[in-house]
Amino acid sequence: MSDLFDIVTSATLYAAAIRLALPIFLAALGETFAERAGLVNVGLEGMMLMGAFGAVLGSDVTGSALAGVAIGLLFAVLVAAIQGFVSINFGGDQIVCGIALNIGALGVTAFLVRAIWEGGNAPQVAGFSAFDLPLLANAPFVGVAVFQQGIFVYVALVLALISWWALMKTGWGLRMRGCGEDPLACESLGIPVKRLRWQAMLICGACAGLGGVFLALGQLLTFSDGMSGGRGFIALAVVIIARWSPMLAVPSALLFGAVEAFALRVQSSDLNVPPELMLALPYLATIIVYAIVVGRSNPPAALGRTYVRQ
Amino acid sequence: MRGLKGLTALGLTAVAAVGVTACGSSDSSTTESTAAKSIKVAMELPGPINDKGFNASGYAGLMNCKEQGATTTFAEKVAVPEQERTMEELAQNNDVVIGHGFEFGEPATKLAPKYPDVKFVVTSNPIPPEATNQVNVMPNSTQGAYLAGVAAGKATKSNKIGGIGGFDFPVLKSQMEALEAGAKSVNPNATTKIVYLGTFDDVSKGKEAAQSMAASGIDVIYHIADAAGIGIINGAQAAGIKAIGWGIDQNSIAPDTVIASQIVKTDVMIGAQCKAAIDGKFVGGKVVVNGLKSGVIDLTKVYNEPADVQAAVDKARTAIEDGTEKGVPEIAPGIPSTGPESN
Repeated sequence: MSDLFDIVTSATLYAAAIRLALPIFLAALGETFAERAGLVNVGLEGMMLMGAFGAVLGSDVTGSALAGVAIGLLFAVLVAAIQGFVSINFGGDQIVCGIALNIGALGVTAFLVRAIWEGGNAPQVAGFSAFDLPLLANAPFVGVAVFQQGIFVYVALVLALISWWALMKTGWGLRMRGCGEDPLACESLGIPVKRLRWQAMLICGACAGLGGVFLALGQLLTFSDGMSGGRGFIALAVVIIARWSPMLAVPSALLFGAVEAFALRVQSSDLNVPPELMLALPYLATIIVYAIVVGRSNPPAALGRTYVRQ
Repeated sequence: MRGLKGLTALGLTAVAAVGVTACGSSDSSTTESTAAKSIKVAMELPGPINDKGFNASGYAGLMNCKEQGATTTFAEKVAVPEQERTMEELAQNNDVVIGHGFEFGEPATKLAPKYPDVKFVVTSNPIPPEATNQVNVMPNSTQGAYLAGVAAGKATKSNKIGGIGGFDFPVLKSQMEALEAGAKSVNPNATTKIVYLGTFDDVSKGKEAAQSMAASGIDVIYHIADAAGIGIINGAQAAGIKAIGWGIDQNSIAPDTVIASQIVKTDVMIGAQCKAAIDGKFVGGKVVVNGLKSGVIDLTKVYNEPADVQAAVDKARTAIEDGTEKGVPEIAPGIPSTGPESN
């Protein structure tokens, strides 16, 4: 048992949990906007993948990591725009469109990697490396756990705060949430449902895209096929566990990241646990927490329902 | 996660379909004047051809066939539920169908009797096929993994070695055992820990796994994780520890980190089968095992390490080749690594 204690009390576990949670959190944050406005966006995975691809392409072509971020976000937002046209303007089925975008992004990025780069391999590009935050980085425990990460961690925390304020404390946020509860009533009050839903969808694309950008430029400095690795789907569960709250999305994503980091460490410890069980653990934990929370969470009333202006 | 698996499978099939059609048309133009001998060779791969590992070595084998004058087609990233259907489609239009990976043994065994004029080749599969138009080729991979273990056992300073695999497939497990046996043979104090990722594609998870191993004191990591292996090397580099590559020489990915790579030239074995098919000398119903002696399996030279690491590897290599080293684990249950080289 002392092994287990060592794992749970090591600061590097929490540093890993934060890194693993970060892309999931960003995608979940975007999805929170979309779902609060009444749109189910299953295409998170595709948006992350396009974000990651765009970031590497941009960074490779311009040599600047910042330009990579901009192009990655642009690519992801373009995917969100397709979802927007289909589900907001044409009243198409949101889930079907999302699935199509995921499949499409997987194929398009794999094709482009082979078409653009020699040998079919994306190169190593300029990105953002981890750095020590002055003073705080040397603090015991939390220094290693929190303050030796890259810039993305701090950006994500700021985004969580801004999102919570914007969605929960402003008139704009109230109107956006109204679109997810009763779009017809909103429309009758003169609230532009279509425009607000478009805003939510584009914010969603940018956030999910930033998750992909982090994987590409904050973690690996290159692109590889399917590198989003199903994180966009986990994010969908995180949104529900967080009860559609931008702030609660932080601990919800961290829970998943922590269990995943824990499972990797248990496998390489002296504890004799079957690897299959450890591989399943993050998903089992998600299901268990979901089962506990789901009864008490109220999804937006008009979530996923097609709304066409009367 | 079932739903997710299904969705990804759908996606992969879409990509696979693109692969088949796109490459089928572009490659056919290159075979204008290669006389009447030209044969059509198709390959089915479980992962992306650009993974710098297992799938890349399979694709290199297909290119070997192309250099010999064959017209080539491939389907990459074929998900398990699509493997048999894809193989049947390929069998209908080709002379030789290659399934790259253990998992293609089952569909090939089913389809070989149905398409007697087509020659089936399955790689990394040690199960002897019944059909006379099927050959399974098996690199003697534990020999290479054992050498990797020797290098790791000599290079470690903490006496802690890590092995990261994609899935706990039998052929991977036996290589991990060989890694441990090799390390123990030169360093009795060395302990080996194995982690399976549950993916061959998730580069980010690979990086995280390497970093978690580094945090537990491991200072040399060996991987068999294809595309995710690039993340593992990346993670070892970030943590300032050493890595051993797999498939091809992976030193160029991180020259200061990768101290050696296990070479697995499946491409040579595939090329030999294409040559046999072109020459009309294809003999089926058998397993071909190639290892250190034929050069299909090896360990690259050791980079950035004291000379005694290289010396230990060379000594072990000679001992395996002349049969005096009996400690190399079986390639797969029931298939000894010490058997003779076959053709």
